[in-house]
Parts: sequence; C-alpha cells; structure tokens
Amino acid sequence: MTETKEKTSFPFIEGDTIILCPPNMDNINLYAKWMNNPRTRKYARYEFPQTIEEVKKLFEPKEERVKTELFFEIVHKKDNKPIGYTGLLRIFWFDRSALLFYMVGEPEYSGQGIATEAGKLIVDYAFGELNLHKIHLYTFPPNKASIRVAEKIGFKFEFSLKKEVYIDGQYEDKLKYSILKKDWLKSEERR
Amino acid sequence: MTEKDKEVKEGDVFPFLEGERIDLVPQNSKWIPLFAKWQNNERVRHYARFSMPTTAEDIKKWFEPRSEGGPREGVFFTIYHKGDKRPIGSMGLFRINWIYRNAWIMGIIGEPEYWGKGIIGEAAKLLINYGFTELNLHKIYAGVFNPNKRSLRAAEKLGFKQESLLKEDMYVDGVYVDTYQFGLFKRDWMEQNK
Amino acid sequence: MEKEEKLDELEEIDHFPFIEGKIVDLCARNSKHLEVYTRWKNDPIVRQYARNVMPRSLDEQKKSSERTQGRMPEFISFEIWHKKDKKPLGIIGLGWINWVNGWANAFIHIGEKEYWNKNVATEATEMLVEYAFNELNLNKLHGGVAVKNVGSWSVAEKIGFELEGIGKEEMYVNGEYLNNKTFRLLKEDWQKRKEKENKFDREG
Repeated sequence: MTETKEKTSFPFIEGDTIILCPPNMDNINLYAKWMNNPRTRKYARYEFPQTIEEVKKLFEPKEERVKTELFFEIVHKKDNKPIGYTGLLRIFWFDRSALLFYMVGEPEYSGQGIATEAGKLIVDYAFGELNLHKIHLYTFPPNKASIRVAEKIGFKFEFSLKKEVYIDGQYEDKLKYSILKKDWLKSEERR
Repeated sequence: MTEKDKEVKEGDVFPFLEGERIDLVPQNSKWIPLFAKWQNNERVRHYARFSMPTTAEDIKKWFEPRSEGGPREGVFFTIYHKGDKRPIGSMGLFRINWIYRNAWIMGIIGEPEYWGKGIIGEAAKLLINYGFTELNLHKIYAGVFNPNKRSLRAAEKLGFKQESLLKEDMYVDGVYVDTYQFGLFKRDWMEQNK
Repeated sequence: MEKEEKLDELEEIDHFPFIEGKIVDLCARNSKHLEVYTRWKNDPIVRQYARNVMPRSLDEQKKSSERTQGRMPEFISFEIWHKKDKKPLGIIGLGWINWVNGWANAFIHIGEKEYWNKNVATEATEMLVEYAFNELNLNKLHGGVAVKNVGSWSVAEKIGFELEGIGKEEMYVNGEYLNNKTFRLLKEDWQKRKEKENKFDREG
C-alpha cells in the first residue's frame, strides 16, 4: 500500500547537511520511536513509555502566549528524511537563558557530526535571532560522545551536579555546560 | 518503498524495553480490540480477576490525555512478540507510591498459543529491572490467589518472597480463596542479577 | 445557641499547623490569607529575589494555589506562621519535585521584612529539610540564590548545604546580570551531620 504524501516539512533553518523544520505531525510515529528506543532515551531521560497520543499532546498548540519551548525536526538534506530533533527548553525571557537539547534518532546517522551541526545552528539562532544571553546543556559522564559534541559547539564546562540522576540502578552526576553570548560573538568574529 | 519506510508503517511498534523473544512497548490505540478481547476471554480473566465485561469504549479511556504534572500512578506496556511481530499480552506497574517507592506488578498473556512458554517470566524480568534501575523503586509487590499455582511458581522463580497470607480474600468460582502477598526488594534483585 | 458558638470557633481557626517548631509552624496555605500572599508576591523588595517579574492579581494568586487532584504534586508549599506573634510571615516549600530521581528545589520567601535575619528562616528551613528527607523520602535538595542576596543562603550553609556551582550571569535583577549560586544537600550528608550533632549533644 503505497501513499504519496504531500510534503509537510517547512525548512526554517538551513545547514550544510541538515535542515531544521518545525515539528511535523505526519512524523509523530518517528518521534515516538526515538523517545521509546532504549538507546536513544537513556541519556535523553525518558523514563516512561510514550504512547502516540502522549507524543501528539506534546506538540499541541499550548495556551501560553509566549513560547518557553522550541522544537525542531532535523531533516537530512541529501537523503530527504527526518533523522532526529533538536531545540530549546526552559526559555526564560527575562533572564534570557535557555536549555539546548538534541537527539539523532536514526542510528545510521550517528557519528557523522549531525548533532554538532544541529547544536551550532540552534546556538546561532538563539543568540543571533532570539537575542538570548546564555545557553546551557546537560550531559552525563558516561556519555562521552555528547560531551565531545558540546565542546565542539563551543560550550564550556560550568559545574557538575552531584548524584543528580538515577540511571541504571545508581545515582550519577549531571554535568552542566554553558555558553554566553559574548563568547559566541568572539568565536563568530574569528570565523 | 525502502526497508526503512516499511519498518515505520508496520504496526507503529516502539520498543521501550528489549528482551529476547519479546519487547515491552507502549500501548497503541490500534490494538484496542485486542485488549478488549483479552480482558473478556474467560480463561485470561479468571486469573486476572476481571469480573465485569469490558467494552472497547472502556479500553479507549486508557488513551485519554492524562492531567498535567507529576509522575504517573501506573506504567503499562504491551508485550510484543518479536519473531511473530504481534502483541500478545499486557504487563505493568500500578499503585506506584512515590514516597514509599513501591509498586504492584501484574501481567497477562492474552493470546492462548503463548501460554506455558515462560513469556510472563521474561516480560516480568524486563519490567522489574526497569522498576528498580530506572524508576528507582525500593520494593515491588505481587499478589497471587491460592489455586493459581503457575503464578505462585513464577513469582518465586523471579525472587519474590511470600510476606503475608490474606485469608478468604477473594471470591473465585463460587468459593472464597486466600491471597498471597509477595514482595521483592531492590537490593535482592540487584544481588541476584549482578 | 451552642451550635452557633461552635461554628464561630471554627471560623476563627487562623492557621493549620502541619509541622510544629519552636518559633514558627509550617502550615497548609490558608485561603483567608490570600491577600497577604498577594501583597508579598508584588512587594517591590521581596519580589526581587523571589524572581516574580510579573505583577500578580488576587485572582491569579487564587488560581495558582489550586492543585491538580490525585497526582503527585510538582510543588509543595507551606505558610510560615509565627507562633508568638500569631501571623503569617512567608512561604517555604519544594518546587520542581522530580519523584523518579528523588530531588527538589527548596525555596523560602519571608514576606514580612521585619522578620528577616531573625532565625525564622533557619528554623523553617530545617523543618523543611527534615520533611523532605524523612517524610517524602527524597534524596537531594537544590537551592539557589542570586549572588547579591547574601541573607537567605547563609541559612542554607548553616544547615549543611554545600556549594554545587556558580552559574555565571544567569539571573537578571535590577538592571544587571547576577551569578546564580547553586547549593546542594544530599540526604546521606544531612544524615551524617545529624548523627554527629546528636552524638555531640549526648556526649556534650
């Protein structure tokens, strides 16, 4: 049973190998798959199974007048398919800070610098368009790949939260990385 | 259509906990008729104690949006057979008490061809491990009523210890039967599974 | 006649102690004190460090106190009631409670300025910490303060909170970016401290 679906992906930010688009309700199944998959959900901290209804609810238009979360689908340009997601959470407009997240859901695309590219695009967008002052991200000591990505994007280690999360039967530390606009500007000048 | 496309179209199955013969996956509203069939099936409901008929509409209610905020009181999965690519039962943790950090476990195999194959044991292992190593629970309870020897053996095999006997607690097949309450501590589970 | 008097008595119950202390009690929030809570939330000096940037009306305050039924709350808050002076002084509580990982943010706002620096905050915080660890069975508490506000978190250090880290330029207060000092208190560290104190009391 083949269906030709109308393209409902709307490019919002364009990179070299990827494009960032707003969430696409046609791809809810994919998002649900990634949020449930044991490998991708471990460090993304999805402790509960997500049904399709629950995932749909996450993307329903909310009542708040000013968004505190932004979610983008990562679409691979050459292969023309959604492969992950990225965005900002906990956007505090008065303190002008936000939390960056990214996930490459399709395993064949990991290790290709996609997370780094997605993170860089969001950071540029957050400082250059949203006029934010500071961006953080959290990661965990065992997740070496994510730590490398954070450093490549330009984040600096700020401090670690001791015994903060319960993973695999024990308490682990959570590492806080951050980047300030002025540091980002300096690296922009160098480009 | 590539292999990848096929994968996504087939059944909307999102493995959450992976096992050998089965995975535990989030419940899918497409399977509502199956859930209704299982809960009404005479043999299944005898042991699971569903004494009232269940309609598909009753089951639909499980999928209604939950109220916001705070973690849930129950976490339920569908048992999905990997080789045969079909949902065959349900399993979950319920009455989760986040202060005392304990929960009850229950499960059923709805499709008769899969009874007696140790699948409940395999599914329970995945779920118990999840309860202790991910949800940070301290203790899990299981309740079994006396004539249900199979469940009693299954509980003991997993490491549950009998803690109390509630006399004439349930009414089954015209008579009152005793229920056993079993408990399993995280420390014992971790010890068993090093 | 008697029944009416009893009802009047009920009307007069002015606070609902949940945890009793020496100087203060921690009480359930009282809808009769809604105006006082709203005043604190809007007071120019108090609200600065409570991070209330938007004005809050009485109706909005009322709505925010309603709790969703039958679910584990993300926020639990108490009214701090001064026993001798018989009045509410502020709010203390736990926010963003993460039940799976066992942590929460501890916060305290003393709305009545005359009671700043008078041991009220210390006692109330001690009571909150004991409640969080011994009743709610949590594992860790966070606390944070924008660096210029020295008052509130020397209390934390007295009780045993340790510095977790400093978030640079994280809070915008009064026209400038301040650093956010984050403190932590792990249950195991708190218990060890209590044991030492008890030992000292017994031997002292």
